[in-house]
Amino acid sequence: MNNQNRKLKSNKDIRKILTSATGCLLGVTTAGVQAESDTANLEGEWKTDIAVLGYTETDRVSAFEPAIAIKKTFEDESVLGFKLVFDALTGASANGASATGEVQTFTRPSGSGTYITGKDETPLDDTFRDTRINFTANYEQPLSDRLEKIVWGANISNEFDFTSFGGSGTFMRDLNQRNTTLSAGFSFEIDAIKPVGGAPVALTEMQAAGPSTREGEKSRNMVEMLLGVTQVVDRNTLMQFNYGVAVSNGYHTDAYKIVSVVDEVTGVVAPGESLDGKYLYESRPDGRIKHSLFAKVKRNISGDVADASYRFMWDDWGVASSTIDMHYRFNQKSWYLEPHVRYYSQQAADFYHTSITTTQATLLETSGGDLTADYRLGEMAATTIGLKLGFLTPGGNKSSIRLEYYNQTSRASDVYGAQSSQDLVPDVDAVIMQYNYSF
Amino acid sequence: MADLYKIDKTEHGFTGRFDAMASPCEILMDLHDPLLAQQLVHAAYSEAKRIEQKFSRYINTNLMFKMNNSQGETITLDEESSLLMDFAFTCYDMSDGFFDVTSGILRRAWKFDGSDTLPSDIQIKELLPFIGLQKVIWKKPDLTMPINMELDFGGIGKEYAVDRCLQKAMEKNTGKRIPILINFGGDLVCNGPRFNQQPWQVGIESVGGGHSAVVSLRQGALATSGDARRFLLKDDVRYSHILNPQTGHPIMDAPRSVTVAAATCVEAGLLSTLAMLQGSGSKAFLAEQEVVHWVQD
Repeated sequence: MNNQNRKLKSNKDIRKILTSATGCLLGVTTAGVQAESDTANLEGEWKTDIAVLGYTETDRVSAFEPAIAIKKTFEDESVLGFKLVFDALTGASANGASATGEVQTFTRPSGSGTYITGKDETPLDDTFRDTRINFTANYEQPLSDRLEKIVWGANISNEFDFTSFGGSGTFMRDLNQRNTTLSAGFSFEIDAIKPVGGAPVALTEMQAAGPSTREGEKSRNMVEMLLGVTQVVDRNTLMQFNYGVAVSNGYHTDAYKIVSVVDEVTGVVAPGESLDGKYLYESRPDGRIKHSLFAKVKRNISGDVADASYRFMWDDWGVASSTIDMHYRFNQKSWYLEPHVRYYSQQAADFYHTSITTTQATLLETSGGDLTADYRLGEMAATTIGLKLGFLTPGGNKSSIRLEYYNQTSRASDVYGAQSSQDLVPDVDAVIMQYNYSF
Repeated sequence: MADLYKIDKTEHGFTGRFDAMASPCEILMDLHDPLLAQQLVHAAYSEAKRIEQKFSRYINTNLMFKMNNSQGETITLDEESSLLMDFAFTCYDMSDGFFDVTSGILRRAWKFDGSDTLPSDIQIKELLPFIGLQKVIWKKPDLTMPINMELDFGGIGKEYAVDRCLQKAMEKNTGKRIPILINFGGDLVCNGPRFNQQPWQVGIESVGGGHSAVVSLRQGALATSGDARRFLLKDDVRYSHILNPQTGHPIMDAPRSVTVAAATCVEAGLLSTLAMLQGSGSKAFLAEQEVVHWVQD
């Protein structure tokens, strides 16, 4: 033994000796080794997703929405992603006023010009046209022991009458041999609202086209906290629970929405000061506290994937809603088919009125309060049924086509006299089509 | 049967799972016949349990117990134990005594539980006279061990079991080659590429801020030595569980983890352990051996 060198007889003999000794031990000759490190796999290429969505409501809004998202995983397992969505909306949207047996004249949001709604028709503002650009950035940062990570997000959105800026941070921790994930998140959003022609003074009467008193720009901010648990129940089952609370302050009113004032006996629209009919600009509270509870179960059923979720939301406006959402994915070798059903039901806000009486209008005009006839805050139920087909393109990239049908039915909160012969809150039907491609 | 091992369908075959040798064990197979899959898993499971029973230091009725309690008497080893004994001597000679199957008794002094409790020099010195394979008289198949010395095949047992389990599983299949990969807690071997001639993709876990990696393995084995979970930490000094049998002290400056690719799991395991025993010289050692390897500091 060479005592000067306490190290091994470091030469290639070691490997030869070892190979022959192992041959004796195992009594076999082996086919050698072929291994290589595939680190390129770890620091991935930029992955790109493109999607095009089309949305068409019967007789109302149409939207065309192309989107592109890119994402890259780095060697330290951090993930950086960006997404750009472009939204083009055209068509007409309900202005809040009720259908009547008379022709109705309204002033455009800009205050100059009018539009007319035929008798027995739902008043729609046909100037509805908007484009929106939304940009988001996400950074997923793994922490020391890979059991913890933080996801940072930033978001900016711009429309011609609305700008929004937001940020978020979510901390996640894996416990219990990664069978449990706890998450806690915080986000904020700051919105600047610049209604066309200025924000109308809430609860004042819509006047004939021409100069009128308007307020300027408005703003709103929101903070939200989210707590979640994801639990692996068994090899095939995953459960998720979330609770979120969002507090917002500022201008929540929709500057373009009005409410019809009608005679409480006849149901006929009351005469206006300068228009034929009397319509009040809506008014919503300056603050909103919204809570949500969410539960989801996802299960692998011999290769197929089923998931079902339930969400309950409630706020201090009196709105409460339930959403049940179910997907089932039939997995085949290179394609899948995924039917989808969603049912949504909502209880109206305390200050929702399909229309109000002259007495109520006088009361609101003198002592203030909140009021809206926006069907989105009324009592409603909506059903979505859809089908998604996912497949690999001949080049081996993922692709999917989704087709959905949406039907919404609402219930009027107040019906006076002749209004009973009108469809005050007509159904909304929409078709949604989306194409996705990843490479 | 269901209690012994589990078999699950995967996209291209089946995976069998069980626990043996304090490790989660996996048998990955690319085949469509569930009955054959069950036979292969059963063969591997039986072999792993047989080896565990025979060489475990925690069973007081097995061969290992008999060897370690021979009180200086000569005992005769069976063929398999003799082969392992030969192999242990080869490794001892080849490493100038650094790889020593009699060094296990140092565990009485060193408890590698992540704590800051170090043994005293006296505790260690008391054990050194009972370490050194050259003190064992081995005239195949007769073994004579001095009183108070102990043998521990823990340093090669798991890798040996991985290779043996692959052999046993392959013996069950007489037809066309079925792609199999056997993985006992990160020490693994395959019998060739997967069904579509693609390599097996094996992840190497990152330790202590090191980088993880994905290895494409077409043929052969991977084994990892490391102290990711077994070490002591005192005054910011990390004491590795890789001990120098001649001083009774840990090898300092060893990497956190060394993974080596070789034809068999036994070879890969030995090379990774020998590299760790080189301390700061581990990278140079591996480079000289011309083996495919991954080192995490």
